[in-house]
Amino acid sequence: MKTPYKLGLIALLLLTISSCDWWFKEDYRFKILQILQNNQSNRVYNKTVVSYGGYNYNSVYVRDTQTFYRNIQSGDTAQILMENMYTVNLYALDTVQFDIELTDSQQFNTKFTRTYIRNPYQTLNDFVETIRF
Amino acid sequence: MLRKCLFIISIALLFASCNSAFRSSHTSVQLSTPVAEYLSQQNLLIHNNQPKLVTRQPKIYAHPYDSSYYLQYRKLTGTSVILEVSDTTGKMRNIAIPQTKLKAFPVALTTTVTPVIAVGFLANRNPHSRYNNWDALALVAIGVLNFSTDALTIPLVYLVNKHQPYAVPRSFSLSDLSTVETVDTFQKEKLYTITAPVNPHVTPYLNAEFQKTFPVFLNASAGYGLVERAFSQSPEPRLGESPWYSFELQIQPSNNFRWGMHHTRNQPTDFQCNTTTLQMAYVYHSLPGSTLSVGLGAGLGSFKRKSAPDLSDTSKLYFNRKLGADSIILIKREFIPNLQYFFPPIAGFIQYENQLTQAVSLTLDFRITRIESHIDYATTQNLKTREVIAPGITSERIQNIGFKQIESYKSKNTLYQFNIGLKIRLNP
Repeated sequence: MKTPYKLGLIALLLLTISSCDWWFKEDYRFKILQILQNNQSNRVYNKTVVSYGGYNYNSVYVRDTQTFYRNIQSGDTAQILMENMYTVNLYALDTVQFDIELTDSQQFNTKFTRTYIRNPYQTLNDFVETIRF
Repeated sequence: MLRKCLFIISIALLFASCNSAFRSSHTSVQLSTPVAEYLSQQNLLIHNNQPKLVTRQPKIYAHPYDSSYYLQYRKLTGTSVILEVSDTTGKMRNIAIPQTKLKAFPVALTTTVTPVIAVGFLANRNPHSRYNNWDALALVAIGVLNFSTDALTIPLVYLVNKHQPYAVPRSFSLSDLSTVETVDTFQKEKLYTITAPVNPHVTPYLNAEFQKTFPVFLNASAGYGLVERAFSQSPEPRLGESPWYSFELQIQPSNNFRWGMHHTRNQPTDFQCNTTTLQMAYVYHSLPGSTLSVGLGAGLGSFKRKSAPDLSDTSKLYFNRKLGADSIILIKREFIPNLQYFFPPIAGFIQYENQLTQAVSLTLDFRITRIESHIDYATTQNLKTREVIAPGITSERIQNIGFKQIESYKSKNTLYQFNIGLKIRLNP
């Protein structure tokens, strides 16, 4: 075969190959949006401790916590969005725990825990939880 | 490899070669009875009147059905050939016989097999697929293979059958005895001055030199289209009525036959659709000052849906298990816009044409086209659960389950178009 034909075919092949996607890059996501809605007649003080654990890049299991303090006005809402703990800090992170404490200046006082478990068989794990009190 | 290539070339030569291979190898001139009787007693020879002389030995035969006589000879290249008549006394006569170069749709792999494969590829193309580039490469490879085969076979067929495209027009006849009677060879001027025959009945399809001409028309029209959907369980919304615009390039090779390339598209609303069809029509001339043509077409169309509502649904089943009262599955179908699909449309039409001037006509047409419509949704499922954490404290949690999936639906539709337009003759 003559050289121009060969070069033409090679160029066509390279053009096609370069325009192909060779692998599918999956986005793993573990995202939690928690909304607290204050239906009390008073302002409510909220302390939430978010704790989660996983392996860091040195393959050492570490546990991390973040604490949020908010005052939620009557009829108002407060949000906590946790979305980058999986991809930035830790991998093999499967469980996130929210320890929530709610008090007001009068008799209202409660503590409870909410747990969010990642399903490892799906790439996207999005949780939206609205807690009304 | 060589054997495979030879096999493909042989198939192309046999089944998809150019028209010359399928044409008759003989042509004939109609003769009146006196001319036929006279010529049957003379020596006849047909030649091409070129420096490289090619001759044919004609023969006269009577047609078994219409009792007329014909001078038949094996085809010879040239827009005119010379019939040389000579008798036993040495007298001669040269008569010019006109020949028309026949033209037709070039039957070859590139014009038959390649478009069919291309339409098939495009109609089965999935816009979500990540392998469309490989399909396109395969299509290009098939196109190159077919074109290369044609580049070999067409010149070969023309070379082998180079005389086949030339034939004597049916309207030409030798009826006057004085035009064929031999003259003395010393009458050089009469012997060697051969008048070219002139077509006495010039038509739009055969000019004065007995050569074929093709009136070419451009037809632009606009109208309204109604879409009827065949029964379908698809959740897609029906296609609404909208204005449609059409262009058509028509070629009329004979009085009753017309073919053209027709393109129509709708004014974009919530969908955009267009079809390009190659169509043939039979033309009736029985109406005074106007014609009626009926035809069929097939080709390639594309459909793109631009907007549609998102859909939502609920279910109490999760992997075939019934959920409790506090749980429900929310199914959300999010419309994916602007995905292009291709399909092979089939069209039928009736066109009424009223001639306004010699070059301009008013057209009214009714057209039925089979089109496809598509819709795609990105479907996500969420599990919604309600929980009472403590008296007075409730939780409502929504979490996604599974993967986002693409759901595609296809429907068959019939498009009814009513158009009004103008048709202009492009060539004089």
